[in-house]
Amino acid sequence: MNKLLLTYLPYGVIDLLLTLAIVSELINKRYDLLWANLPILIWGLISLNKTVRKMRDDLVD
Amino acid sequence: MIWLIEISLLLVTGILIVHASNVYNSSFVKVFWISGIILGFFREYALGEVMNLYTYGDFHITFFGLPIMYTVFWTNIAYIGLVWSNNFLEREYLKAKPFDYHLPLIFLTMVLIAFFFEALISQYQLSVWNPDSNSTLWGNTPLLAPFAYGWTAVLFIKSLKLLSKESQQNWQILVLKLSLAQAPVVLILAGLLLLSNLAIILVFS
Repeated sequence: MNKLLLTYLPYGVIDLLLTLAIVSELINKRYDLLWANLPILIWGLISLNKTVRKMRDDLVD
Repeated sequence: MIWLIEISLLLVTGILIVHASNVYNSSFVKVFWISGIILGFFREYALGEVMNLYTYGDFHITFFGLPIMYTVFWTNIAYIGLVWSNNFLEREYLKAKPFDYHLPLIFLTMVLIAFFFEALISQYQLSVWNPDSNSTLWGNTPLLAPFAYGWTAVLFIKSLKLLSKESQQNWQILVLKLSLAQAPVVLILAGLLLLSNLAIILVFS
């Protein structure tokens, strides 16, 4: 399996659930709950960014 | 939408198992998910049925009254927390020194997952909380909910690390040891939740 795709899988599952949550909040007009999706999205991006950077550095070396 | 949530969580389990079997090995997958499912059953029985901390909504896929998605949910998010913290710290928790930054990061990940997931399921009243404290995040979701997520994953991962220290043990033995350990893990979890609830009551009263 492609290494980048494999790295993304544990982040992708949260993205899948986040999509479900955001769509559901928009459908139910629960705009007050939308903020709850932001912290995990940011933390996931930070962690994924670090991994991708490390992979890039390993490739350069 | 409830169907979609349940099926998505089963799909997530499949995806994470594929990931774990590629990154670790098939023995790790068996150890992690078999003992995790046992944790799920014990946890839901203890917190839902015995402590009556919450009651379930209209889940479609259930087993003896317990929603099937909760039997794998805790294992799944514990695995996500483990991988994200490993990636962030650029080292493997199961091989790291005893006092490391992994556990606080796993706890943080669980708290953040609790925010969005509780927001999602609260829209359909899939879990109705009945805690003693009145402090809530929104609607019926109490301040205790993120702690319930955090302690569950941290205790499960810690028990895995403690019991997998010994090298040269086959996976069947480890599954057995870890599965048996889940009963005390849930007892410790219940104790920590009572303390967390007490702290919340004291701070916000």
